[in-house]
Amino acid sequence: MPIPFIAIGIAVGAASLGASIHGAVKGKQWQRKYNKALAEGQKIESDTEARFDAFNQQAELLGLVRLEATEFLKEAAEFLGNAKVKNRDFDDLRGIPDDRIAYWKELHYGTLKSVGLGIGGVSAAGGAGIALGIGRLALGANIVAAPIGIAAAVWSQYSAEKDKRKVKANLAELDGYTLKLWEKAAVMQAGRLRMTEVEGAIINTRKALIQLIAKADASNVVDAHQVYKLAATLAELLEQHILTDEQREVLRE
Amino acid sequence: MMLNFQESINEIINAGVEYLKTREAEKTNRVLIRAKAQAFQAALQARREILLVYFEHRFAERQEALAEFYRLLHIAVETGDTHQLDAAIGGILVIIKDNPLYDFDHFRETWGNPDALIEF
Repeated sequence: MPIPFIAIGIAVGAASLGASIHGAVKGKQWQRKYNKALAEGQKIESDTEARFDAFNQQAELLGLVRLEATEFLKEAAEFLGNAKVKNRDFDDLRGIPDDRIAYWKELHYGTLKSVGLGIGGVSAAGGAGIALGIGRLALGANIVAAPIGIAAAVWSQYSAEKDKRKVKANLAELDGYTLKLWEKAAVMQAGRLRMTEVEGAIINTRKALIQLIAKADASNVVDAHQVYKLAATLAELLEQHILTDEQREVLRE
Repeated sequence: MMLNFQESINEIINAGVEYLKTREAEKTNRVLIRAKAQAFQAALQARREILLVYFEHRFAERQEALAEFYRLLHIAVETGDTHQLDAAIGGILVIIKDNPLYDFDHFRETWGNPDALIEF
């Protein structure tokens, strides 16, 4: 009997059509879902890039502050060299070590011991991110990985399922990437607070040292020791770290 | 042995019902997993924000103390008072050498675990 076959044929055809429409609708839903997540991810990425630029600018500024302070240490060393109070005892004051004065005289910003710190890298290359030894941020590596063929392949349930799996994988990747961006942003935010603090300490100490040297008498032992103490403080401040190794790694990743 | 028509229909219906049950259960599981993932992300984000607020406050407190020591430092330079100078530079160095970003690393380790306890 041909009629049942025709009926079966119609039923199968209708089912296929239904599956295709269902697949198309589902495929579009996943496409929209992914597009939304992608747009959010791109926004977070561009925010992170802006943060990075601001972070770099601050690092450059800190670099300049350190550079000026380093140069001024040489003047302090010059003053102490003329003070003629080296290796002498005066009450509870210790002598001023020759090697320290010589070190300050020769000190270059790029040779500061703390280069690794998060500042140091500033030395030769000079650049900003480089100023913190982190280079550029590695952004955009994953975020552009769009599900290929989603729009084109929505004509069958099979394709839609395949695309769904792909979108899910991409969404998971996107989530991981977004978390990393948040982490980078947090490190930069905390790093900027620390940079502000260290910069303030260097500026204030350098300013005090300038005032002290301006009024100090090189032949006066107390004056010379005060200059020495303040210069030693400034030198120590110059070598303070901003980011830890782990944090620089987070920014490099 | 051939199954009769009624048995066949029953088998098909039972299989269909089983399939629908499994599909619903899987769907529920997927919804739960998705909800958990979203909650996890939200928890991580909240933790990050709390930590950043904490660090902002901590740096602000340090800044207040540093401002006092800078004031003392300038007075010491003006007056030439060695004791004040020692107190000022000692205070500045103690604060600056204690880098709060080392604690930040410790907190970062807990970011991946929203159940971890953070002690301030």
